[in-house]
Amino acid sequence: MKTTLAFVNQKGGCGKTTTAVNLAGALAARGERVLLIDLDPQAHATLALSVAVGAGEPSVADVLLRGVPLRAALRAAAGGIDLVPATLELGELEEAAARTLHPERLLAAALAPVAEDFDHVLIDCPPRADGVLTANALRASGVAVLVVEMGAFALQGALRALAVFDELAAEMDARFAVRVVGTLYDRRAELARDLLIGTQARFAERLFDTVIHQSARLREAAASGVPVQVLDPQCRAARDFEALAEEVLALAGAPLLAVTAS
Amino acid sequence: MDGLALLCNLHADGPVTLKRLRLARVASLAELERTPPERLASWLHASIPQARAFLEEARKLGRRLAEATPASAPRPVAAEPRAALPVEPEPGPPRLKPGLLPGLDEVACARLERQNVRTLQALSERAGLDLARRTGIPYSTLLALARAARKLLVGPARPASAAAGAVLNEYELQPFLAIPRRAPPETELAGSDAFTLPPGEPESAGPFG
Repeated sequence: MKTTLAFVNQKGGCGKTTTAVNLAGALAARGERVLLIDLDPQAHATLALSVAVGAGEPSVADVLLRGVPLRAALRAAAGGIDLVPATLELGELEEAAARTLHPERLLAAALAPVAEDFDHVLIDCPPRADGVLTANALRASGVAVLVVEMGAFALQGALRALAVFDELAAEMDARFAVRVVGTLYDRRAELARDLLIGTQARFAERLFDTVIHQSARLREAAASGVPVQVLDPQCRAARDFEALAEEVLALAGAPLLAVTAS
Repeated sequence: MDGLALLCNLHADGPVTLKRLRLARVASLAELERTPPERLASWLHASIPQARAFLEEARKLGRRLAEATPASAPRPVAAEPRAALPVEPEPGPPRLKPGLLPGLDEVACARLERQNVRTLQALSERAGLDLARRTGIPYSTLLALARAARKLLVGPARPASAAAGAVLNEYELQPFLAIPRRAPPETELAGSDAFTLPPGEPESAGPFG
């Protein structure tokens, strides 16, 4: 396995799922073996890849709550992505965590047997950085990708998430690098340009060179249940994710930028 | 993200332009600034005016980033004693004086000075209900003074009498007269989305889910 990336932010609607799904699509389009784990009880990544979990079919909730092997929950999704789907039941993990020893280590343990089957594991986290689900993702990941939309309050959310990362890294004795990706960027808007400058000033080399532009194609892709590379490989959004995939591949060979979030 | 990538995201389409620059072995904003526009135009598949405009944006961004860097650096705790510094007359911000702005007379000047409002900058920033109460200058008059101060700060300075006595041009008195369209200057074209973007690609209108 080359990289394990967790897509995180403290706020919702900043493009975490879109980034995870389409980056997975871009990496898979390059021939990489990609596993996407939907760790959000809202199951948006599962929906965005048009995977339905029927009664009795295992999901990530079964993996974490009942010890079902992760391999049993794997589903082939559009664009050559392997998906571990989520269901609403995943929300129960927060409650079950109180009765579990080291609940934040469940995902890392479940991933270990399949680690060699994939080049990249991408984990789509719920929209809170301080829950047990995100703790699981960070514990299992080498890189926490902070998804920052280029809109109002974006930096505040990102900085809150960074503070949580610091706490988690200290509590769990975890080692993960932090990288930042800008999303929902509209170059025509002065606010977005100013925010990008501010984000670059704050995060410098931790900010990916690629910024994901706002795109109607991304919404269409999610509605169609496929990554944007399948819907329209020539559109700007697909090019953005190709560029991001290149950076992620380069990341795999590079040393970690930071041991912890601080 | 370095300055070069930031520039490409701010003033071009991002990854494609950045890739072209990196292929041409441009490693930084400073290197880009030294590139002749003709060469840059050929690298970016753009026109020379577009390349020139892009270089101008690179210079502006370079200056902005350079200005931001020393400000964020920690200042030394022990500053040098003031007496040791050479005393040089500074040009300073424009000071308020009667007649500088329309409606700014000696009385208003004195009242503002008593509240430590001595410059155009201070007037433009502090004009508000509180200052109106403290000076006794009517709120609307104070706002008009602040507006005039901001104009004077932003635009080229001109005497108040000229500003007050200015008359509308003939075409301004005929609002429905068609004004002939001018061709956009090349610098504007360079700043448009046409730059380095393939034609006909649909632009986004809304957020993505």
